[in-house]
Amino acid sequence: MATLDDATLVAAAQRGDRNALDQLLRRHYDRIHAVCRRVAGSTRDADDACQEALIKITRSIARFDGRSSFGTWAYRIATNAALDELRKRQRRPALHTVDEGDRPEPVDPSAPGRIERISDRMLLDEALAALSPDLRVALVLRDVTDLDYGEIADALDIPLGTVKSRIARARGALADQLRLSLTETDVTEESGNRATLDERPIDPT
Amino acid sequence: MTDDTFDREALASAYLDDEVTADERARVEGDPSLVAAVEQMRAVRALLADAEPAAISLRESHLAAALAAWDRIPAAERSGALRDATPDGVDPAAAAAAATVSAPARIADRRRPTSTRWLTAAAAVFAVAAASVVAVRFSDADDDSSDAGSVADEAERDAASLASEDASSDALSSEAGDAATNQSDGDQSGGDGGAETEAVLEAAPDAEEFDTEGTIDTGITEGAPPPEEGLVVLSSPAELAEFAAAGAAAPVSPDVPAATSAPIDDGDLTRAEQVIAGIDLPDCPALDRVVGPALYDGVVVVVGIDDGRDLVIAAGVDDCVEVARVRLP
Repeated sequence: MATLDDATLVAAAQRGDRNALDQLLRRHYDRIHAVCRRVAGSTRDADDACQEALIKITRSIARFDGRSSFGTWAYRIATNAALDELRKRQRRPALHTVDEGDRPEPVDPSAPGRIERISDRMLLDEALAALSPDLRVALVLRDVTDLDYGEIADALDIPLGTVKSRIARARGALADQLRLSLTETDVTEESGNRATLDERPIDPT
Repeated sequence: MTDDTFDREALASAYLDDEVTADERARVEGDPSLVAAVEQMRAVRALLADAEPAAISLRESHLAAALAAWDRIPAAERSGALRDATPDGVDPAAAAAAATVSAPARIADRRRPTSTRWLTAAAAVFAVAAASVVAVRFSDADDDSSDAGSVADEAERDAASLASEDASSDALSSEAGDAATNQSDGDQSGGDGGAETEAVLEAAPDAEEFDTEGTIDTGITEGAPPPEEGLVVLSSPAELAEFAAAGAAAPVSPDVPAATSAPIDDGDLTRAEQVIAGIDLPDCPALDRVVGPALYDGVVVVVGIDDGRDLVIAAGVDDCVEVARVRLP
């Protein structure tokens, strides 16, 4: 049986085809979950956001007009759901009573910088959490969902140049935080000249 | 960080995404430090893309919930009949978010009938009490028991009618209708003979509280607790968990005084009373079950349970924003 493309499945779902919707959601589930995971940070918040996103997609697909790809649309909904979870987290007065088990381990200051030795996903979570949401979202949409600059600009409603600069700054900051390098000497040299994230130039756009 | 450094970083990033011109490409490839920066960013990208997939059980749970939401959407809306409702120029994702807010939530499907049933029952009880009081007054004034009984019967019929109207006005009226029917039946069965006399006798002491102008004090203001007094006060996650665990078996404020919830017109109720009465508890999608309203950390919240993850969640009654959560004991 030939695999139907997204547009065909969307059209079928909009005609009331439940199986088509099921296929669509399954096809994009992993990326939707990954977006939520990377943007929201904690596993539980990501799970909540993912559930919210799927329900929003389901309830709104009849109104999806196809001006962007289904993926772009769905990932944007997932991004917003994850950001909502972040906002909720900030408003929780008793977060520590629940989240203790999910808190990342403190980063070992002597942690090795080589990529092959960074096996702890929490390190990446922590580095991502250090980014502003604007930078994080742009980077996640590019590197997790593989949207191109134009699609990200469309999804976030920001200029193309802003997308480009946010992604670059986010990557630079993450690389700094993770001290990733395949040529440690070069990195050490360059990192010494790198500014902290806060000292980076303000987004020109 | 200098502008030059930022430019180099931007160039390396653009190169990684194949968003460079031929000249820029040549510049990157001719500069070892830029190549190294590209490799760092490539490593970052690989790490980001290497997200741990969700557990199969979680995925299936999420998908099932989404499809269940789909099943609850009215067929006309589901099949795209309302697709053109989004005006031109409105961002589809924004419309999606707005639609989600206004669409009936999963929890609403289950809670509204319960709330309606509760209100209906309260309205009927209130009307019976009022009828009893009227009966006492007629009895005192005229000593004509048949008239009093007639008035009481009429009030009971009004109560049943009121309950029926309430039930029929609700889009999700099947359970409410049943409740109204059951309540009416109950009133009728207790409305004759000794039961009616007993009701009159029980109501007699309260008759002294009625004013001399003949208007009936419903007890909504005088009898009802002060604002927020009727809410359970919770000050810690542990108390929240206990509240939820205790209330899980009896959702939606089973101990609320009937007089508080009797009025159909909620215009005179305070915000807290409305919450207590369950009139406008929000439809919070995160809550699979609603335990009831409470005052948590000074905030009026609706407490509910997320069955999928065994969580107790307290959400603001105005916006469903989560205020606290804790594991269900």
